[in-house]
Amino acid sequence: MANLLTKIFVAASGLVLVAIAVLQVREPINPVRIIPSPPVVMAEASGTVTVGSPDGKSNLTMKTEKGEAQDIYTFFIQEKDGVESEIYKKNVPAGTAISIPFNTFSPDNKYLLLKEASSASVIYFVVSTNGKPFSEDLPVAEITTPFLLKYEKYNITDVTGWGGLNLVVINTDKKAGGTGPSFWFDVSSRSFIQLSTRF
Amino acid sequence: MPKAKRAHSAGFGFTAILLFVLVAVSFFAFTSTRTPCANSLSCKESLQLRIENDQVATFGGQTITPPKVDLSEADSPKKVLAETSGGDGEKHIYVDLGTQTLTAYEGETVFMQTPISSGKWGKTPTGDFKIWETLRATKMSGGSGNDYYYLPNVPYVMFFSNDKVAPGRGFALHGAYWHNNFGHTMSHGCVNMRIVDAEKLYYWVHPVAERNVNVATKDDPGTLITIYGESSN
Repeated sequence: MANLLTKIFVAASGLVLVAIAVLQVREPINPVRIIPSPPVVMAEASGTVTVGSPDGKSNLTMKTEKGEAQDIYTFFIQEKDGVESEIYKKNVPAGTAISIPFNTFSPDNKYLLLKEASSASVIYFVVSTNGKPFSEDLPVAEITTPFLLKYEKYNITDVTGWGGLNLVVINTDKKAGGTGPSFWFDVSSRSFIQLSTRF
Repeated sequence: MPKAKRAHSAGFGFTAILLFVLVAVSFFAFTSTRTPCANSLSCKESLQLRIENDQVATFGGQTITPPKVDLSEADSPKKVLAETSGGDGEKHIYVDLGTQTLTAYEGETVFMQTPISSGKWGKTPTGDFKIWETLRATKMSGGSGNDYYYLPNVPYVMFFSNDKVAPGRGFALHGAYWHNNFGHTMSHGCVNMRIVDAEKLYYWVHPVAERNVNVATKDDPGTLITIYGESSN
C-alpha cells in the first residue's frame, strides 16, 4: 500500500513539475518581425511632407527647398477645417537635415518636437504651433545644448516624444559607459528633471 | 496485516496526499494569472460605457483636458462598420512588445502597422486573446502618489481576455490622449494607441461597432489578438 501511494505521489508530482515547465516556456507563435522604432519623416529632396497629429485635429507640413549652399525648411500648421499658417522657418547648411520625429506633436498639439542632424551633431528642439517665440530672444526651445552643458556625465541617445503635455522624454547613456537615466525636458520652464525610471 | 503496520501505511498515505494537495495548490497558484487589474481604481467600472465631457484628467501630476466624446458619432453613416482592408481571411492583431508595434492583418494583407505603448508601470499580458467588448469611451483610473492617474473619456476601448486573463481585469487596446510617446512603454498594462489609430482599428475589429457598447457573441466573435515578446524596460 505504502509503495503504491509513494509511486502515485512521485508520478503526480513529476507530472505537475513537467506541466509547470511547459507552461512557463510556452510562447505564442511570433509573426513577422517589423520596424524596430517609430519612423521619422524627412525630406530627401525639395518638396513637402505632411504628418497628422495623434488626435487627427492638426496637420504639420514641412516644406523643403534644397539649395547649393543651404536648405530652407518651412513649417506650417493647419487645424482641422482651418487655414494653413506658417509657424517656423529655418535655413540650414547643405548637409544638415531637419526631420519630424514620429511623436512630434505634444498631446495638446501646442508644441512640436523637431530634430536637426548633421555629420557633426544631432540637435533636438521644440517650437510652438502658434508660431510665437518662447520669448523675445528665444524662437525655439533647444534641448540638446543646454542639456549637455548641465549634465557633463551623459550623452543623449534619443529624444522619444512627449510623456505629458509639456514634458519631452530624453534618454541618455553615461559617457563613462553604461545606460544613463531618463529625463524630462519641461518646455514651459525650459528645465530638466532627472527621472528614477528609464523610458 | 498487523495493526501497527496498517497505521504506519495510513499515516504515510495521509502525508503523501497532503503533499500532493500542497503541490497541486502551488501549481495552480503559480500558473494562474497573477497579472493585476489593469486599472486598479476603476477596473470594474472601466468595463462600462462612461462619458464625462465635463471632467479633467490627471496623469503624471499634470491636469489634462480630455477630448470631448459625441455619442451620436456611432450612428453616423460615414462609419462603415467592420470595414475591411481588402484582404481575404481572418482578422488577426499582433502586438510585439519588443518593438512596441501593433500590426493588424486581414488574411495576408496588412490593414495597419503602428507604434504602440504597452505596460511600463504594470505588465501587459502575453498570449492569444479575443476581443470580448468594445466601448466608445470609458474612464480609467489607478495608481497612487506620483503614479496616480484619472483618465475620463479614454476613447475607442477594445477589451481583450482569454482563459488566463479574465475580462474583469480590464486589459484593452485603446486610444491615449495624455501622452505622445508611442513606440515606448507608457501604460499600466493596457496597449495605448494614437487616437487616430485606435479609431481606425475600433471600426475594423469584431465585435462590430454598431453601438457605443458592443459585446462579442457566437455570431460575431471577437477578433484574435496575439501579444508576444518582451519590452526592454
